[in-house]
Amino acid sequence: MNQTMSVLDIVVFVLPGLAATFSILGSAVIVGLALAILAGLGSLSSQRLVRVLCLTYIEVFRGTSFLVQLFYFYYVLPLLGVSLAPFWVGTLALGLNAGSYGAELTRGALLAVASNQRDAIIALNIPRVRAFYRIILPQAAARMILPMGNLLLEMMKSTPLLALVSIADLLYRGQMLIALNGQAPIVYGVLMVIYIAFGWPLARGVALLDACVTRRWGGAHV
Amino acid sequence: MTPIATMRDISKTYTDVPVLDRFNLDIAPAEKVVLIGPSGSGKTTVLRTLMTVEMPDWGDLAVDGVTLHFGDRLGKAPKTSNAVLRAYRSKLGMVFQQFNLFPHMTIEQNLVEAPIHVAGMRRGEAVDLAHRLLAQVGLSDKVKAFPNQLSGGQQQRVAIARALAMNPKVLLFDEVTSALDPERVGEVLEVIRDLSAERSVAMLIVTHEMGFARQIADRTIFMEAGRIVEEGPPEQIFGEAQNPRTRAFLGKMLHP
Amino acid sequence: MFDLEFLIAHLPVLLSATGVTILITVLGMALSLCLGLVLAVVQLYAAWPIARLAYVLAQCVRVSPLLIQIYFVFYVLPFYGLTLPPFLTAVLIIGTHYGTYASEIYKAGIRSIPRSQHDAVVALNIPRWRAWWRILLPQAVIPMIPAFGNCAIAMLKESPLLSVITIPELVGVGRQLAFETFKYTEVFTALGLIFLVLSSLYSVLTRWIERVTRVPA
Repeated sequence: MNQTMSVLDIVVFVLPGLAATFSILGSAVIVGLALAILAGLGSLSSQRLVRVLCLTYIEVFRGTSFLVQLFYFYYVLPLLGVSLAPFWVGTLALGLNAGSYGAELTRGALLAVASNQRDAIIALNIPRVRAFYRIILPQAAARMILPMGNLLLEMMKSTPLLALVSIADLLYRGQMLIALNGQAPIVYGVLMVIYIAFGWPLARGVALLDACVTRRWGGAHV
Repeated sequence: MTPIATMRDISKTYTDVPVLDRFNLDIAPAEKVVLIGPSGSGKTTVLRTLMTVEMPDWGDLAVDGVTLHFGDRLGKAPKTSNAVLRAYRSKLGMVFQQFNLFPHMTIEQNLVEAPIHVAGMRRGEAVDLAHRLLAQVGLSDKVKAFPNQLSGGQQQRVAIARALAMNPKVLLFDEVTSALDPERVGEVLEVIRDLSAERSVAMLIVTHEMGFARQIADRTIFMEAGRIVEEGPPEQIFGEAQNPRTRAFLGKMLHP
Repeated sequence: MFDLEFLIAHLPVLLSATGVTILITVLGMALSLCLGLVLAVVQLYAAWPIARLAYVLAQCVRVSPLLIQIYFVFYVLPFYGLTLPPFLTAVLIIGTHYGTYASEIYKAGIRSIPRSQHDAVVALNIPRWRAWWRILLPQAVIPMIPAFGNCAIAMLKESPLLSVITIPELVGVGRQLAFETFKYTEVFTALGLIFLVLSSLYSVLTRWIERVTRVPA
């Protein structure tokens, strides 16, 4: 079946891959966000053990390549007796990786805001718990819009790596098609356009949201 | 008269550099004390340790009957309990050089935050108070604005109102006009001047505005290298300072 | 059972692959620093249509996955009769991809040069090129160093993707070794450790550059 396919045919063929890509991305975002908040807070804990555990997680996953982590989940975990479905390999690898970056962002934002507002919180005698969720948390969240948005974009850009461990994502479907019709340039071109079509609005949207918050509060970046 | 606030033998060291060494100060109720001196003389540290934004290494602080002891080198003091620290801080208010408003809250939210959640005031009451204070500093029309939408001078007036909302016994002003454009300095000083005339709150003011210092002070203190060099009524300090270092400093400040 | 002897025996293979990884990131970083500067200057100062075009192209490269770009370039170039050695292709792709990141860093840095410095240069009548080269750019570049350092570390960690076009870098070589010997645990653990060491090395290097370029306070 070596006849020439139209762009539309190519898009229709790779579409199931898009569903796989985005379902894994979506579940990885949930895992990553949960880990980012937990490990970010944990890294500031007064409990030494919690702090060390969280910092170790952050350093190990930030310090190694995502591809190595993915291969670890795919090749090594089964040897240790843990066999995961491809969906969970993708979700966990992507989620754990992004979670470590997110945790570092959370940690940095909380520290920065806390040190900016420390004097005012003490002088107004605001109780610790209230100061945390009413003063520090909202400003830290505002500061994190842009870096977290960039992280989400990076996560999306990492999803094609899942094809390397046989997860039937966009790239995987595209390569199946190339094996059938041999039209590598046009198929890869279509894939590029699809990713740009999602990545560009995401990048713009995050920048607009950040500008919007900055215009109102100003202090998000003070 | 019993002082409303006292600092007794307060010492503070930053990375081996002593900033305050056995510093003593008494402030009488409703007294306006102005601290002057070259930069690095420890004026700001006096305010910051009194507010306990920075904990002193050593010494005693007392405001309106609540006392804190610091220093355990010689087994001086057990650790201060949180409750005592909070009771102590509730007697004081502080206005900062950089305003330190909460940028994500409206002006009104900035003002009612502490009255409601620290002093336990009802919301309606706190809002009324906030509006009264904003009227007093001339910002009634900015209730719903965010700090970012105000000029530096306006932000500083909000910060003063915010400190007043907790009805402190002593108000601390830390170079509150230093970060302002020159044309905005006047409006802030005027607010402080009005306050000092109509309220019985004591004030401890660090400033480089010598004219203002002379006008508002009941007592002026000249500091250098973490020590009080000379103190007295403003007429004496600005008119006939005894110490040559005071005279040298004022000479530079008044006739540069 | 973790086979340490196996690892020690095969360490030379992994280390020489590490050399390839380092070489690619160093060359790739050099390319992206140059390309990023050009892209930034064009986007900021060129005539509108050219600036806009540069922006759109750079954005397209920045928001789409490196892996897709690698395949695309590797298969498209020969299609038009242009065959480059894989190593050169690899450096070009990764350097261009991160060049778009670098251009964002340059743009932010150049925009943050205070107005007063531009005024001072004009007031002192310093020639335009010299002003940029000697006065404006250096003070903009020094605060960018940490961001470039992060860029280099990100590039280091994405360089394994180049194994799909036969570059004998660390992860490609390691994976092959694991396939042949079935020592997955040993090999991938070693790969992880090597990356940990390399990325700390890069951040130490960044901090060193930051220190020697810092203006004494």
